[in-house]
Amino acid sequence: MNTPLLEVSELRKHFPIKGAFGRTAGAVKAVDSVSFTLQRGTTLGLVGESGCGKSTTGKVLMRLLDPTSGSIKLDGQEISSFKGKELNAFRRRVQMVFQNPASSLNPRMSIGAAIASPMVEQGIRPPGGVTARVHDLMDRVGLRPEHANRFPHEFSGGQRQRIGIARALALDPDVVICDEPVSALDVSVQAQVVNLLKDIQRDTGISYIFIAHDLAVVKHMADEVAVMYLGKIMEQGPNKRIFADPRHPYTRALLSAVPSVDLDAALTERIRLGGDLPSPSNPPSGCVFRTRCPAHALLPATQQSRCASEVPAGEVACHFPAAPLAVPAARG
Amino acid sequence: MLSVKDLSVRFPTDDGMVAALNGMDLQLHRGETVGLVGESGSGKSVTSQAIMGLFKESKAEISGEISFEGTDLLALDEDRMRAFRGKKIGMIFQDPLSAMHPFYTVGSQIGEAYRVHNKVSRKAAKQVAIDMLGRVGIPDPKNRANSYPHEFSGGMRQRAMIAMALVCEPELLIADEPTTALDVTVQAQILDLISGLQAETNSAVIFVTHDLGVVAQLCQRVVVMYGGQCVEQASVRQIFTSPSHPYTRGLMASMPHLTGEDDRLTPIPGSPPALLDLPPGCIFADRCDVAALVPGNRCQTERPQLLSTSEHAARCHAHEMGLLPATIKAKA
Amino acid sequence: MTGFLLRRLGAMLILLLVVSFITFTLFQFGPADPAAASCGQECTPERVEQARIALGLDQPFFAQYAAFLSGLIGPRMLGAPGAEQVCAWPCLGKSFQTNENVTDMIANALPYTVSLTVGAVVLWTVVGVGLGLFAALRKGKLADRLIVGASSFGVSLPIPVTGLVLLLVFVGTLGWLPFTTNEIRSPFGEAGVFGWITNYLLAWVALAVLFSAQYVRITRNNMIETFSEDFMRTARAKGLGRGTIVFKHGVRAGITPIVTMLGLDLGAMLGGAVLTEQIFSVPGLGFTAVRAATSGDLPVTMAITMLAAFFIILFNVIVDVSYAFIDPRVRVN
Repeated sequence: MNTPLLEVSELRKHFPIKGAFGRTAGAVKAVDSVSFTLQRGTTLGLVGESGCGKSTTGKVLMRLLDPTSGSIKLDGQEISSFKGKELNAFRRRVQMVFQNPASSLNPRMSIGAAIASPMVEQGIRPPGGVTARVHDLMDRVGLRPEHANRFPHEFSGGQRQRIGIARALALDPDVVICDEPVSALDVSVQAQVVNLLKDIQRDTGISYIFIAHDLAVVKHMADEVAVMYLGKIMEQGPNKRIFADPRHPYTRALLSAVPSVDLDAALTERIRLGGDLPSPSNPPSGCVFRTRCPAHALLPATQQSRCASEVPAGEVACHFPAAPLAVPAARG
Repeated sequence: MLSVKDLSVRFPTDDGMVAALNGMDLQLHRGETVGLVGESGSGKSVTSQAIMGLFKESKAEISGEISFEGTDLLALDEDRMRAFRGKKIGMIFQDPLSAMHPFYTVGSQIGEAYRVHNKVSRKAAKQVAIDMLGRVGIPDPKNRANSYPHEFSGGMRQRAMIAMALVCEPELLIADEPTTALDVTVQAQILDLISGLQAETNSAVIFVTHDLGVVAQLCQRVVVMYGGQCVEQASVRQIFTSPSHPYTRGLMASMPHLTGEDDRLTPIPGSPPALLDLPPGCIFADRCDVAALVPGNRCQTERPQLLSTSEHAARCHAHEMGLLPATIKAKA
Repeated sequence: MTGFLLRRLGAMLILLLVVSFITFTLFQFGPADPAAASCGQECTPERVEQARIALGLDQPFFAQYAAFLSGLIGPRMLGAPGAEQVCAWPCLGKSFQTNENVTDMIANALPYTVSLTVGAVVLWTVVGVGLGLFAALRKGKLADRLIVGASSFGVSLPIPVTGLVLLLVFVGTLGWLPFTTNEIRSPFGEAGVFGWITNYLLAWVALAVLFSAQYVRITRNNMIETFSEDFMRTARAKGLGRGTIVFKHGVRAGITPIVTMLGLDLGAMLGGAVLTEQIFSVPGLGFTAVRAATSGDLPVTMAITMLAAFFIILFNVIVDVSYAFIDPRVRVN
């Protein structure tokens, strides 16, 4: 079982920008050479702020969008160019849970029908019948099977998200891509859904790609973590290592920005990022983070120029991962 | 400076009367920052809007008392309330893109806020606006004052909104979830800004949020809200070291943290209340894990009062009767 | 912006060309024979044939069309071969019926249509937008319900009904207003502004009843939506006065769809409000066009059709450009 379940290599997704008279005047580099692997039965957390490309990555993995270039291998099989029948078969193995429980369910479809729809679409009849499986799934996600005939608006946000999860599990996929599944939920309900996802993983060995911007949630869910910025992965590694010993300046800035409930924790690292996010249609050359990097400013000029060159591949996408970070100014 | 007593707000809707606030109490002194914490339906936004008098001349039924520096704000009519808005009490909202007018420049909107309460020329007001933009950390304020809201990034827009709310130097700033829609690194900048400005002006701040981490970083006191009531009030340290209300405890146990162990999260079962048909007893009773400890079905039949001991108040029968299990150190 | 305007101008010319071609083609296959019609009662086949040649109808289709287009660029020769006369630019031909210069005919008819349009537009905008705004501010109350009810009623009243009723009551029975006369074309004539107004008032009211009903609806719905936007709440939280909030913040933000409608309606009306002109006997473009079309008068019909198309397209462009002035978010593109 050494082949990773999912192997993504130099994945790119560029959206062309139309100029005058329909000419292509550049591209929005939403995902720009992203590589990672997902082992069977584990969760990979894809973290980043808005505009980093994590959601787009998820959509490309699901083949909701076609990749511009790069390779996606599921169980060693290249799927990035799948079409038609092959794509259909692929869909049985990779499913998605969406962010907004209010809008990802068809308001005119009963939830029983919604959960059954993947099976109906794929023409799959489980032994025992579709209805029995729907009830079984509802039970698994903590919903009462008697409610299968109700409609989405009769449920709370947390319950609707459970329905979405049940629907994603209907075809018994190998991978479920969760695109910000708890961001729209209240905190006390978030924990319910997080626990549910973990329980399902424990019971069925399913694998997740968990996309989120909330670092604390990712810490609880993911075994491996990849931090994204402007279409690239800044740092990736095991959960414990990333949170205990972050090495990339961006990761460190991100972690220090999260307000801590530990009142006694000394504010050892208060790293503040200045400036604005560069445009993804015109990212900085070489290391895309160098325009805002707190370490960059402290480097001697000779080393600074190196940051404009291509960053070597590895767990930490940084030329100088050990460099000290700037001391912040008094006011942000 | 501000004293809210037994504030109740009810709205008529198609489904009946929604009891958004059911006897809310809040005290605030000069220079204090109070966090108003709660989930959806807790009434935290309704409280802040009621203080601003935004429900006057609407169908809402309001009772109780809001006393601001000796004046009962509820007794004022719309015209007299106007003198307070912007001048004595400033407010910032969650989504600065929709909260600012899309057709007017940022400078003119801030200038307008100033000219309502100060008789100066348009030119003078524009200069005040430019100064204010500089004060909130917007680079090149002279030119940026001529930009439109959609031309700013999310963080800059929120700074502009803060400038607009503070331009008349109000004594009280109400911040209604100002960072919820922002990235975490931007949130950190904005929180720094707010605390810095507050230190400069010694104004009081009511910070409405669902994020306990933000409260820990910014506030001296915390008011926890549930079902339109204050269920616990204490200093920040007390809330985190010895939370007294089962809801507060449940909230802390269900929140994922960056620091500390990542054991399983303990969610609060059920969902936030619908506010249409409130139970006669404690509003939290159906989700509470200690309600069973209180004899005689008291939690279901009798609504608990907010009882305070020194600085710490809680609205709970079990707490009042000393039946709460020993304080668990909140996960830090 | 210039690139945008140039592109639209180019599109306009192409569109006008297409309109003219379609109209011309429709006429070729129409039933009326203008040569026979112009000939009159005592017509012999020879005279019909003569008329046909004089009108240029013996030429092949494309030759006729090309001749027509040439008149738009420069002067053109009209009439029977041998008895040709120069028709100066812009030459839109001569009426098959009256042999008048079509350009002159249009120049005569246009002021009437403009008079009708200007007054009606002002009236329906003030009434429609005003009542719509009022209804939005009093949403749910009695005034709102009355206004919405009245607008439903107004929208279902066709011009012939309203026009005739107004004429019957105010001119026929009460005698408060005179019948419309051809003498008064603009407020700058002998009768002055007052004469101009009394002449066209009923026609304006007839049009306004119909159009303002629509405008009341659209304005009301739009304003209700705009008033619930977040920036209205912010305006209130700043301590702004009621008037400022409603007009400076609310109306300014919600006016865009109404401006669109107004522009398009204006463009369409300048092409000639056919029904109204008929009922009130106003010899404007619409009146003229109907008479020409029913008698197979190709040059006149062509000319008015193209003029109407021109106005509609022109106002479309004006509306698009005005967006950029109203809404700064549009300017980026």
